[in-house]
Amino acid sequence: MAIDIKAILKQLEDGVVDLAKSKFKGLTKQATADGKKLLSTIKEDLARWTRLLAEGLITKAEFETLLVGQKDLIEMSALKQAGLTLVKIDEFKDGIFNLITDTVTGLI
Amino acid sequence: MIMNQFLKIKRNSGFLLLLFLGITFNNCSPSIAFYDQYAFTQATSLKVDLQNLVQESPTVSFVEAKADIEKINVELKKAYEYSKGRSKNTLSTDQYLILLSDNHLYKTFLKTWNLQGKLSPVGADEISNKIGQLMDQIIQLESGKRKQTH
Repeated sequence: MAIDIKAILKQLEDGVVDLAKSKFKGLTKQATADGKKLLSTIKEDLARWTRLLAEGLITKAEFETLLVGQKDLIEMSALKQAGLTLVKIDEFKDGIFNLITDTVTGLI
Repeated sequence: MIMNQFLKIKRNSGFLLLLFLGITFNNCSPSIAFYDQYAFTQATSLKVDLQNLVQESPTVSFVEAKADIEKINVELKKAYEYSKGRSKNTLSTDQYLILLSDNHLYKTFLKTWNLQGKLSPVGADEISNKIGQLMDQIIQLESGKRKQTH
């Protein structure tokens, strides 16, 4: 049986596009939502800590400690997002491998 | 003769394509470590221990809490070393490094505690929440990793 390489490639191309759409669309949405949530947390925290400092409920050293924590949260959140992106890339690679196997074996 | 060989190659092209793609993709190792139940348990347990330690700071002096602090420092180092020892786990290890390094939240909190003797109750609550949020970043990255299928 002759193998129609062009048909296989076309089928794979369509499959890869669908896979990319399904895997990364959610990730962009998730990263944007996380970023917005983080920004809102930072704003609220800063406003509250400033008020607590002014009212004498926290010390200046505690206020500064909290600011350090805010910076850490941004760094750790970025590391988490980078890691979750790699997870999606691995899932995408697995998806492509399965797609190729199914497409080629289906046509032979 | 040449025609026969050509037909043979054409007939086997599907197999060759599969073989080529199989080799190519099998050689692609994962970009990040798989989920690890022990690492997840370590992180969730550390979150509770760290928050409890911070909650001690308004009632117990830094000097009196030395043993508790040392215990948690050891646990943190163990979690960092375990994370560092796992293949393709740099991002999680970097997260632990933030917790362990000077001039970051945990060590700055200890310095403040040492300096003041005790923390204010409101300050301790706020720091406890923040440390909890930091630990959540470690926990969420671990739980988001792919489960290894055997």
